[in-house]
Order: sequence, then C-alpha cells, then structure tokens
Amino acid sequence: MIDRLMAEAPAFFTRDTAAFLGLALSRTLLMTVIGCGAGFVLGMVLAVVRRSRAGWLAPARVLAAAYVELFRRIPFLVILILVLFSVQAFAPDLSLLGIAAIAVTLAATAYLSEIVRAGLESVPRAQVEGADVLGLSAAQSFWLVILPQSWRVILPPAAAFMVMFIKDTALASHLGVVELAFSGKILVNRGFSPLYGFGAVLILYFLLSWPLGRMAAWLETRLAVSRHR
Amino acid sequence: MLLWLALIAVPLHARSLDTIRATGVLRVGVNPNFPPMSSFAADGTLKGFDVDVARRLADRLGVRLQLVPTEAASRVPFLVSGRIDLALGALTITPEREALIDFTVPLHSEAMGVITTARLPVTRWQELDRADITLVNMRGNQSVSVLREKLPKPQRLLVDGNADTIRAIAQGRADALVENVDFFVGFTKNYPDIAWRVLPDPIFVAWCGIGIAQGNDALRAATDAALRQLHGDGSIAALWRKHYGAAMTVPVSAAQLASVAKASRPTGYRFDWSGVWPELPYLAAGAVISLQIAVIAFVAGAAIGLGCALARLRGGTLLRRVCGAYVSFFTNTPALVQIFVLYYALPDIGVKLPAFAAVVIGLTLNAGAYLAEILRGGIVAVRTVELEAAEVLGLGRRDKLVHVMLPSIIRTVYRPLSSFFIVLVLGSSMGALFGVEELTGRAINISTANLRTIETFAVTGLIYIVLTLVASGLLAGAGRWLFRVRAA
Repeated sequence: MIDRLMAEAPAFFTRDTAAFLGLALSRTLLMTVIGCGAGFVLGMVLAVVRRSRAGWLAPARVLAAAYVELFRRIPFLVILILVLFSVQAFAPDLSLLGIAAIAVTLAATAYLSEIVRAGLESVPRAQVEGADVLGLSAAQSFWLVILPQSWRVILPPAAAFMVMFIKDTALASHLGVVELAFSGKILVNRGFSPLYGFGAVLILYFLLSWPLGRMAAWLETRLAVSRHR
Repeated sequence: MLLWLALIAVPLHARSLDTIRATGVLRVGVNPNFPPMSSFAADGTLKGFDVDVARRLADRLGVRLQLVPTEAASRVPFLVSGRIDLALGALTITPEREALIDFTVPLHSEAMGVITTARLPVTRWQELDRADITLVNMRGNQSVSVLREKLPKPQRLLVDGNADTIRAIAQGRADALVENVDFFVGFTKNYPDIAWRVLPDPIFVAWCGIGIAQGNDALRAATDAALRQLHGDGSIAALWRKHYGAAMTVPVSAAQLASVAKASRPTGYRFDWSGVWPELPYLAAGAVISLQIAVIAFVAGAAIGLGCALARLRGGTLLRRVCGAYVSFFTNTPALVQIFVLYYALPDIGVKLPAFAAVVIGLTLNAGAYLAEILRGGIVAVRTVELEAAEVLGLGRRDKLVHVMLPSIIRTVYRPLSSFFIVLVLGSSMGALFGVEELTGRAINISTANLRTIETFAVTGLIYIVLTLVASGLLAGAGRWLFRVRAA
C-alpha cells in the first residue's frame, strides 16, 4: 500500500488537484453560508410569527409551527431529492448548487427557527408587558426590548448549528454538486488511492469545521459571561 | 406540501429548436461518472465519446455546446422540465421512457454481456443463474429489470455509479456484472491486480438514442439529420474506436437510421400517485430497516459514548487525549465521508464490509462521538451540592450513584438523547447511497422504475414524519413514566 501511495504522490500533489479541491471546498462553504443565512432570516420570521398574538395571524401561526415541526422530521437527503425534482417545474435553469442551497435553506429554516424561538422566549414575558405599558408598539418592543436581550441566547447555538450543517451538505454530492465529499469520490474514481482522495477531503472538512466549532464555543462562553455580568 | 404539489399544474419549459438557435446554446445532459462516455478529466472538463458527439451535434446546429452533468436517474425529469435539450449517457430506448420522452435514431448499440473475474469459473452467461452468485448493477439502468427476467436466481447488489460496479467486483462484494461490456470494461484498468474476464456471447442487444422532450419535433428532426450524417461519414464509428479502443460490437444499421419519427405531442408532467400507493408495504418494510439501523447505532453508540465520556472525565492523560481526538475527529467530519472510507477504502487493506455493516458502523462511530459529548455534559452537570448532601446523609458509593447521580444524569441527558435518536433515524437515510434498501433506498428504487420521483419522495417524507413523530411520542412517554423527565 505504501508503494502505491508513493507511486501516486507526484500525480496527486499537484496544482490541479489543489485547485479542484479548493473549488469543491468553496462550493461546500457557499451552500452552507447561503442556505444557513437565508434559513436564519426565514427562521426568525417564522419564530416571530409563532410568537405573535394577533387573531388574524392564527393560520400563519399554525402553518409556521407545522413547517418547523415537519421539516425537522424529513431526512436532508429526501429534502434534497424533492427540491431537485420540484424546482424543475419553476426554474429549470437553476444550477445544482442553487438547488442544494434551497434545500439547505428549507432544512435550516426549520432548525434555526426553533433556536430563535428559544432565544426569544428567554426574555421574560413581564418585560414585554412592561414595554406594552410604556406605550411601545409591538415592533418597537421586539427591536428594542426582546432582540437586544435574546441574541446572546440565539447566537451560540445558531452558530453551532451552522457549523454542523457544513457536514450535512456532503449529501448534496448525491445531486451531482461537485462539493467536497463528491470531489473525494471523483478523485478515487480517477484511480487515486482512497487514502488520498477521502483523506484529503476529511482533512479539509476538519480544517473547516474545527476552528469554526471552536469559535462557536468561544462565542458561547463569551456571551454567557457578559450576560451574567 | 403534498396538497400544494398536487394542485399546481406544471408548466412546460422544453426549449424549441428556434429558442436554442436564438440563445445560441444547446444544453446536453451527460453522465459525469461514465468514462469513456463522459467523465471529468484531470483538468476539470468533461471528456468522452458523448462529449465529442454532443460537440459535433452543436456544430451542426450552429450553436455553442453547454454540457450539463446529469445522473442516470435525473435524465428523463430534466428533459421533461427543459433543464437539458438533449440527453446522452447511453439512454436505452424503452417503452417506459418512450411514454415520457422521445428518442432520436439510435446513436449506438448496447450489447449486454458479462464482466467477471477468474474467481468465477463460468464460460456462458446462462451459468450465472445460481443463488450463490451476487450480480452487481447500477440503479436506474434498464438492465436491472432485464436481469431479473433472464437471471432471476442470483442475489443483486445495486450501486449508484458505473465505477462502483467494477469496484464492487474488485473488492469481492459481487461476482459479476451483467451489462454493456463496452461501457464498463474501462474501469477494470483501476484494478490491475485482478484477473478480469469478459464472457464472449452477448445476452442481447439494445439500442441507445438521444433523449428529447416530447413535442420538440423540430429539434428531433434536426438531431436525426445530424446523426444520419455523422453515422454516414463514419464519424461516430471513428469516435467510438477513439474512446473504446475497438469497433462497436453491433453497429447501427442503415434501416434504423432511415426510419422517420412520427410527430409527438407534449404530455407534460401530471401528478400521478397511482404508482406509489401499491408500494406502501414495501416502503413501510424499508422504514423498519431504517429504524433498525438507528436503534443499533444508538445503543452501540451510547456504549462507546459512555466509555468515552467516563474516560475523558476520569481516565489517564493518554486515554483522555485518545478519546478527545476521537470525538473531535468524528464530530468535525461528515458521517457520509466516514462511511465512504469504511465502504470504499477499507477493502484495500482486506476489510470487506457489506453496505449495511459499513453504514451501521459509520453511524455508530459518529453517534458515539456525539453521545460522548451529551453524556459528559450530563455527568458534569450533577451538582456538587447534591453530592455533598448525600455525603452528609451517610449514603454509600453505590447508593450515591443509584439514588443521586443517575437520576440527575438521566434527567439532564434524556431529552438530548431522544433528539439524537431522531437524528439517527433521519441519518440512516444515508444508507441509500450505498445500496442499503432502507426507506430512502427503497424510494430511490421505486422512483427509478416508475419515474415518479416527486410523488414517491413526498410519500417517503410523510412516512419519515409519521415514524419520527411516533418515536418521539413513545420516547417522551417512556421518559415521563420511567424517569419523571418533564415534557418540553
């Protein structure tokens, strides 16, 4: 096996391979950033809708709750396949990367909405009632009272979720998005030893995920400290 | 979502010849993992027989070529939706496909034969009809159903890519591949140590055309004309020899080229659930397998996790380091790639795991790392006050563990553990990518046969929802009864 690795080394450690893996890495990152970014915004909207009290929003509350509850119970792979085929009817020109980003958004929205909701609920009701008494509108009380206090509770688990989702995007390889996991498979199919193809990919995932994970953990301790001050 | 899917009428987007000429781009779907038909070369561009044919077709139409990497199962839906104008990739002309798409005159033949190794002492394909033989095949290929008819006895292993079939034989997961020999024999180069054999007599010959959306008659006529010319001047034969190193086993006849297609009308995509309902028992049985995978991975993972959590809290320096490295490696890399390694790389060092075992072991190792973190959190969260109180009360080590520590730990970790079990149920769907016939794998099997992907997967999603709702409900109930864990 060592012989094989030595023999393949000059062909593997080339600028072409590095560029190929780099491009794949950027696609993995892009899917995660776009999907989780959009998912965070949509998730926040859903969380706010679910927190609302207005009578006319009752159907929206039910839909938002159903969405959050159901989409966390469908495997990401199944969401990917469903998005791939249903998007065809509306946007046949959308790239596979775009399709994967939509699937990430759909899944991330559901999970991040729960995280946001938990954060919003960490602010005691009494404060909202206080703001109400002071004559603040619902929007004012959200922006000025709830959000400034809850983002510290929201941010750490949201960051941790996004880091976690970097790894789940590997499933987009099934659609044919040449992201990190697929690039490893392509290298192995080209005849390289799996130790090289998958080894390189595992190292890259680790280099991407570990520092970001540490950052999320650091965020958690930092924000927790400032909260108890 | 189901309702929404059922109510919308899907518009048609197939681009006519005029549109293609106006935009100046012909979009051709080729399989990215199918050398020598088409595959990514070292410089990152697609190369192969199909790519050369597509380029010549685009030249004849006077437009630029845009290649769209398209997996086998996506070809028909992509044509119907208009994502691609033409579908290549050895698209066999079959009645099922002809119900949804049109075909040009044949581009090449497909002579079905047998690729095997010296391990299997057979000389004719008929001798393969034995229960102790495993035939490998590719999902979405027409040969799957043909095989079931001609060789019913052997076990079958379904994989996702062309390269995976030959790899499966090289690694001893399967004994033979019954397929178009020309397409697959190229992969045997990757395994020079194996004594590869090709049995001489073809089982039968099928024809592959270029797929076109229904009703796209002008494009079909133009493509037919271009193909007649390319066959006539010997270009296609020459390209075949260039990429396959030999002449086409059975060439396309002049009579086939002369046939003129009838005009067709687009039928469009209408939702049709009738092909899914009869498969519900098959899917439900798949759900049981998904659950099995999740339960095994959870129990084994919990054992690893507990050991690891204790080792990190109480163990020596080396043990702590090893467990810490294990946890950070497995939580910072995708479970999918971990299973890739178990399934595709381990055979190189002589460890040959069946797909089911590879998926279960991969998920177990992954679960072990996450559960170690959850359990460690639970142990750390036992309050020293409670332990001191137990001390004051004069409780022994055993009593302290059973009456103070364990209840506290269980109350902390029960809900995270239940959620992680659900994560594992959903994660078991990864098995589908390795040919494990759990719920998602079965859904892929069904949809490649009935070409009703959205319907099949919408139902599959619903089954997952019901499955996990029931599981969550049972777990929450058990928590309340057994450990007085409060509901969310």
